[in-house]
Amino acid sequence: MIKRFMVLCILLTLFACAKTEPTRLTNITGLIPDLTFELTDENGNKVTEKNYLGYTVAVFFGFTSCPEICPTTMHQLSAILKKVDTNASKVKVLFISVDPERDSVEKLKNYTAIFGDAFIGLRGDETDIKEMTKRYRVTFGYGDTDDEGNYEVSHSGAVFIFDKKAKARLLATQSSSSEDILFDLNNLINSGS
Amino acid sequence: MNLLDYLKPWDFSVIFVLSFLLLGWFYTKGLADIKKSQRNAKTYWQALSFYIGLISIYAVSHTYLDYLAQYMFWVHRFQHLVLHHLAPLLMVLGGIEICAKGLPTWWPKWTILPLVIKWPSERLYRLIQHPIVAPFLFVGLIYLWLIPDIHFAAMLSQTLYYVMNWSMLLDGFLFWWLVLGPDWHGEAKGFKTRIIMMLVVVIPQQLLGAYLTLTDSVIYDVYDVCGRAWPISPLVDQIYGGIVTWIPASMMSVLGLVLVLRRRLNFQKRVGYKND
Repeated sequence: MIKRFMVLCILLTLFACAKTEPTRLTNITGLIPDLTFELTDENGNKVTEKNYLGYTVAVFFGFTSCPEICPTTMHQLSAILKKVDTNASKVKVLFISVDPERDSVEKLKNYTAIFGDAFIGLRGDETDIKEMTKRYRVTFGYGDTDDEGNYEVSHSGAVFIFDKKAKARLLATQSSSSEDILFDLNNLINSGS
Repeated sequence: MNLLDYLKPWDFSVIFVLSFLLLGWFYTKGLADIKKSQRNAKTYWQALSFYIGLISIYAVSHTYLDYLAQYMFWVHRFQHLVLHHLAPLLMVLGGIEICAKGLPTWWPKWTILPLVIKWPSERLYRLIQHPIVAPFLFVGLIYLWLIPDIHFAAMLSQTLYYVMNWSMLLDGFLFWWLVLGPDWHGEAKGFKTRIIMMLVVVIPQQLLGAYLTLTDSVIYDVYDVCGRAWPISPLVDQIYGGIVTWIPASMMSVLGLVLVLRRRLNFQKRVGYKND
């Protein structure tokens, strides 16, 4: 009985988020805090979340030397943005580096240029990034450095999507299909929020 | 990272620190009272067992280990092994009931609480401590929090994460209290029930551990979503987690079985001597 009660509580908590509008991606409204940060953008300017108010913002924590997950996700998002119903300039993709040691401002700028104008590279001190990732319940870590100075980085593969008011709305994972991301992104942009 | 960084809590919790300090204080005070009234009371092993249990709860919940447990599946399984199996068992063996002796005089006594609180609480307690319900709940909770969707939500939402860990700890105390608490000294009555309870919880834990270890696909994608504490293959992380669930967890249940047998034998010896 207790178990049943607990399952019910948990399911209610889960459904409480999904009840308002059905989404294909994970609905994180109320589950994850709103977007707040103070970082440096790829042009060397200090920026906060306020600079992106009015845009639907997708946040990804990655690094430019990433061999697989980052380029795949960025290419996927780039392709999706080309298909968005309305003006894709309403969307910004913030690529936040979890490897500030290697990712300079210039490197980030060159990297995001590959994917399009909507993509913006951001960087900050490791402690600032750690604090930010902690707020979104994600993390990153470094492997051992090899003879050539290279090292592996473990990081989140998630894309956090915030609405125009910087409220957390959706979570896309590595297993989310492009169709689902496009569907929910269109709904979010068109909902006016 | 220096030692202080390892000891620093990842998420500071006032409730947790207060509970930890109060429990430690009440136990220490209760123990001192026992020593005062019975000079020859041998309490070293009991005290050691209790304090190790208490400190291990702190270590896995309020230090760098808590961070690792949130971002590494196998560390999470280790955290639950401590919260659900090891620490509550050690604290029950250490005589957690001694805490009651250390309570301050103004602490409200259970008997004077209003019936609206007492009656449902006692009914609920009796239900969850029923010998059929308790093992079901003990194993059920492990399974429940490992249902992929629920596990995903628990790791993503801080509130649910706390609910998960507190529920495991509380259930650990309830279960080990039922099996090896002070209510049973080793009498014939209740012996078989305890043996059966211990046997019943072993098999489902082994099955779950084996499933996690031997599955060749990643079951819990939340660690890919949130990132891992250091680079490790997701499958390797899952295999380690499976092994922790499989071997030490079921060994703890076997240890419980041995402790039940030992208490029964000691009781028989004591009664035997009296009869001689």
